[in-house]
Amino acid sequence: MAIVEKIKEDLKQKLQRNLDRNYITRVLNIIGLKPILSAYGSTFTSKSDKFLNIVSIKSLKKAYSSQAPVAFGSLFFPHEFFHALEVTPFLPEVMAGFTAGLGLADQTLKEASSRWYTPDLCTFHRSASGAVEMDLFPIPKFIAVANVACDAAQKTFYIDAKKYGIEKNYYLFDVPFEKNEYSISYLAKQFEETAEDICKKLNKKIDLDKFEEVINLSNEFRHWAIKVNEIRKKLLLYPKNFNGLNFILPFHALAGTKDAVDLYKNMYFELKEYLTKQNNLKYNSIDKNNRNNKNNRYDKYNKNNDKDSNNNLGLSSYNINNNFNNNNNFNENDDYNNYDNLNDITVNNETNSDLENINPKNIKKLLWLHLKPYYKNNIFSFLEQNNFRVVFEEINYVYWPELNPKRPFESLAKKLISHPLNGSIDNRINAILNMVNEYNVDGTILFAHWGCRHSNGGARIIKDTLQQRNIPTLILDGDCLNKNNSSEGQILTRIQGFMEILEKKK
Amino acid sequence: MDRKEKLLTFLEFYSTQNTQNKKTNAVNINAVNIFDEPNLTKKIGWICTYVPEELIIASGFVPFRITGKEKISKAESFFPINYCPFIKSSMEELLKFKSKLSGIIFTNSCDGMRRFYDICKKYLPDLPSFMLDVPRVVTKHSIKHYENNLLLLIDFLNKINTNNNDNNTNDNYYDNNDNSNNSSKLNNTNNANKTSNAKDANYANSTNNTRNTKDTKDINDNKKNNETYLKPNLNEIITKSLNENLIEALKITENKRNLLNRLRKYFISFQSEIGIKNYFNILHLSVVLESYFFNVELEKYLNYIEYNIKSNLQKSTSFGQSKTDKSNNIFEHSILDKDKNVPNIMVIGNFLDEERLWEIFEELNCNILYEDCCNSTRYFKFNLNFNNNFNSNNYNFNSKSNIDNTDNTNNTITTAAITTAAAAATATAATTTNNNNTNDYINDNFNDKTNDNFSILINNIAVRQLNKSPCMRMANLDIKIKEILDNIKKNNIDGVVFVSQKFCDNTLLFYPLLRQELLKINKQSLFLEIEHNNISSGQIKTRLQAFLEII
Repeated sequence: MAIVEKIKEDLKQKLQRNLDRNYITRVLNIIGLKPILSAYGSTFTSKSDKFLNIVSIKSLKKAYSSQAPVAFGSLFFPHEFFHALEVTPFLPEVMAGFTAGLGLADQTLKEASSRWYTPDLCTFHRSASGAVEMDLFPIPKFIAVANVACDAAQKTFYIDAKKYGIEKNYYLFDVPFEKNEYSISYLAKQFEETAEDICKKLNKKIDLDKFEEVINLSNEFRHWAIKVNEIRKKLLLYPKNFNGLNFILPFHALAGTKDAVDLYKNMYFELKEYLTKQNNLKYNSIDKNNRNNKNNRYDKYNKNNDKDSNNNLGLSSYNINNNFNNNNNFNENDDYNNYDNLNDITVNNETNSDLENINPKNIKKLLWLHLKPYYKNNIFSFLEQNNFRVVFEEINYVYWPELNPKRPFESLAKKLISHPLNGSIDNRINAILNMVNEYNVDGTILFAHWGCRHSNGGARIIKDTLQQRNIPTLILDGDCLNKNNSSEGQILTRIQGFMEILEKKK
Repeated sequence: MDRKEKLLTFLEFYSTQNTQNKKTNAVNINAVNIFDEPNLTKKIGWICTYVPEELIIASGFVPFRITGKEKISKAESFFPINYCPFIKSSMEELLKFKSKLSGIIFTNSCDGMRRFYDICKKYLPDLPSFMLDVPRVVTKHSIKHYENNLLLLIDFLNKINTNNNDNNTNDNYYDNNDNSNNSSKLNNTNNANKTSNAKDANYANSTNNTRNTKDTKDINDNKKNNETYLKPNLNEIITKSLNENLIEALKITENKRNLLNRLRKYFISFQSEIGIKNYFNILHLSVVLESYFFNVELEKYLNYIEYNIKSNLQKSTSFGQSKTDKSNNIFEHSILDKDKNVPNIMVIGNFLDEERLWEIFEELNCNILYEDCCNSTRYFKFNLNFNNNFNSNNYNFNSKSNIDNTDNTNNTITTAAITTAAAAATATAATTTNNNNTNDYINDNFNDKTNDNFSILINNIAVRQLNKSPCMRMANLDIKIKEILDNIKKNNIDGVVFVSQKFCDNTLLFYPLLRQELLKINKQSLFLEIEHNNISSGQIKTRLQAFLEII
C-alpha cells in the first residue's frame, strides 16, 4: 500500500514538473492501461471509487487522444448533446478542480494573474484559464456554455475561443430566467440550430437515432442516480473516503454514456450492501425505533405554516410532469457482480471502521450545499470523527425530468432550464427544502466559495429560510481551489462551533 | 416653490458659481432631490440600460434609475463581503426610499443582479419587483423572446396601475386635468399637478400576491401535467391608450437620446466648456429626472452652451466671418485640434457615477474623447435609431442619428430588414435555420393582425435595445471589441483607461481580452478597480498621472 501511495505521489510531482499537454497525454495513456489499473486498483477504497477513477481516466484519455473532436462545455450544460454529436466533452471548470487535487493550482492561478485575471474572480475559472494559457488542456474544436449560475464561465470560455481561433464555434446557450412554454421553445431552438451548425462544420448530418440512443442512456443513468440518492436517505455507513462531491465529472459530463450508467449502477448495488450491513449493526434496532418515532420537523412545519411553498421541484412531481409515456424498464434485480465488467480490477474494500461501532442515532446528518475544497483537507474526516455525516450534496440532486428520446432538443432544453440554479433563488431554495425534507438532515453547510457571486449572493436568503424551518445553517467561507485563500484552522473552528449548536439541539 | 421652479433651479447653469465665485457652466446637481418631489410619486425604479424607459412612461409612470447614491450601511448584511458595491449601495437606496417607488425593474444582467432581485423580493415584499429577462445573444429567436418579456413587463406595470386605481383615484402621471387626448397628455406634462398617490404598499402587496398566485398556479398546473406557463395575452395587455402613449413616450425618450448625443458632441469637441464632472452630472440627472422636463431644460442648456461657444469662437477665431459652411460649423473649431500635447483617452467601464473620479480626470490634463460606460454611451447611444416620423403605421428605423452622423450610415431601412440584419449580425449561434424546417415547439400568435401596430413598436424597441452599444454581459465580445477599436481609430485615442467596479465579473473578465487586442494595435491601457461611493482617490490619481505621462 505504501509503495502505491509513493508511486501516486511521484506521479503527481512529475506532473508538476512537466506541465504540458503531451506529458499529460502520455500519463493518461499509461495509467489507462488495464495492467496498470489493476495494480492501481488496490488503492481504490470502494467499487464506486474504482468506477469513478476508471470512467474519469477513460473520458480524459479520449479527450486528450484527439480521436474525436473535443468540445469545452460548462458544468451545467447537458453534455448528452455532445455525446450525441460524437464530440468529446471536456469540462475546464471540473478540470480546475483536478488542478487543485494535483497541486497544480498555484501555477495555473499564477499564470492567470499574469494575464490580468484579478484575484477577486472565481478560482475555478481563473485556474482553468491559467491551464488553457499554459496549454494543459486538449485543443477544442467547439465551445458551448450555458449561462446558468455563472457569468464567469461565458467570459473565460470566450477568451479560450479567441485563443484557439474558434470564435465562430463558440455557442452561448441563452437560458431564459423563467421556465415556461415560450422559454423552453426558445432554448430548444438554440439546441437545434447549434446541432445543425456543428454537424455542418463536421460535414455530417444530424443523427437523430444517435440522439435517441444517448438520451435513453441518459434516462438510464438518471434512473440509477435516483436509486443511489434514494438509498442514501437511510445510509450512514459508507465505504471509506466516499464523498458525493467527487462524482461531479461523471454526473455532468458523462450523462448519456454507458460509463455513467455502469458507475451509478455499481454505486447503487455497493451502497445497498452497505445499507444491509448497517441494518445488521448491533445498534440498529434501537436506531430504527428512534428514527421511526422522530417527527420530521420539516413535515411538521409544512403542515402548519407552509402549505403552498412545497412546490413541484421534487423528483416525483417531475415524473408526473413528463409529457410522454416512457416504458423503459431498467433491470434492477440482476446480480450485482453482473454489472461489474471490471471484476479483475480488485479494490481495497474498506468501511469506515469508526462508524461501525457507533450508534447511528448519535450521528448527525448534514446536507452539503455548493462544492468542497478539492485540495487535501481534513474537513470531512473532522466531521466524521465527531459523528457528523454528510448524507447528501446539493450537486447530486436529480433535478430534471425524464427526457423524451423522440424530442431530443426540447428534452435537453427542459433539462437545462430545470436546473435549480437557474432563475430565481426560489428554485434553489425549493430544491434545498426538498433535500432537507427527504434526507431529514439536522443541519446544512453552505461552502461559500470565494468569488462565486451566484451561490454566495443567495446565502442570506438560504440561511434565513432554513432557519425559519429550524434547520441551522453554516455559511463556511473558503476557497475550493486556492488553499492559500482558505484557512483550514478557521474553517475547522467554525465547524466545531456549528457542531456544538447541533449537539445542543438534541 | 413649485416643481417647475425647482427644475429651473437645478439646471440654472448660468447662476452656478465655483469656489472662486466665478460663473461656470456646471449644473447644480444637488438642487433637487427627486424623492422629495410630491408630483413624482408614481416612480418606477430601473437599474440597467436594457430596460426600455418608453414602456414605463407609456404605462403612466416616471422612470427613475437607481444609482446607488447611498452609502452602504444596512445593505451590507444582505450580501457577502466580496459583492458588487454598486448593488449594495442600490439596496441601501431601496431600503431608504422604497415607499416612494411604485415598483422596480431588474434585469438578469449578471449573477449579482439576479440575487439583488431575489433579495429585494424577499426582504422588501411591499415593493413590486419585476425581472426583465434580456437575452445575451442577438438572433431572430432572442429578439422574439425579448419582445415576449417586454409584454410581460407591460403586464406588470398594468397590474400596478390597476391595483393603484383600485386603491386610489386619478393617478396616471401623464393624465391631464383637461381630459384632452392622450397625445397631448404627454406633451402637457408641465401642467400636470397631481395629488399624491396611495402609498405603494397597498398595491405592491396586491401585485406581488397576484404574481405569487400565478406562480403557484403554474406549479400546480405542472403537477397536473398541464403545462400552463406565463404567457402574455396581447389583447389583455394592449389598450388603445397604451398604444398611443407608447408612441408619445417614444418621442420623449428619442428626444432625450438625441439631446444627450448633442451634449456629448459638445463635450467631445469643447471639453473645457462642459467639464468632465459636469458632463457626468448631467448624465446622472438624465436618468433620475422626469424625462420631458429634463429634455426642456437640457435643450435650454445646450442652446446656452452653443451660444457661449460661438461667442468665444468669434472673439478668437475667424468663426462666422466667412460665408462658407466650414467656418460656420462650430465643430470645425474644436479645441482638440489645437493642443496636440494633451493626451486623448478613452474610458471604458461599468457604472461610473463617481463625482470624485471625474474630478480627478479634470484635475489632470487629458481629453476624454470616448466614454463607454453604463451611465453614458450605453444609455443613449444606439447603433440603430428611430427617425422622428412617429406614427403607428409608419414606424421605421433610421440608422442615421440626428446628431452624430459620423457614427451611422444614412440608409433608412425597414423593421423587417433590421430584424434580419440583427439576426445576421450575431456570430454566436447559427441563425441560418429555415423557419419551415424548424420544429415548431409552440404556436406563436404574437403577430396577430389586430395587434400589428403595437407588435411593430415592441419589435422595434426590442431590436434597438439588443443592438445598442453592448454591455460586457453579452455573448459576442467581438462586437464590443470592434466598437472599441473603431472608436480608438476614429477619435485618435492615445490610451485606454479601463475602470471597473470591484467584483463585477462581466467587466473584469473582459479586460484580459481587451488588453490582448489593444496590445496588437500598440495601445496602452490602464486597469483601475474602484469601489462605488468609496474610491481611493489618491491612489487613482497617482496611477492615472503615471499613465498619462507614459502615453
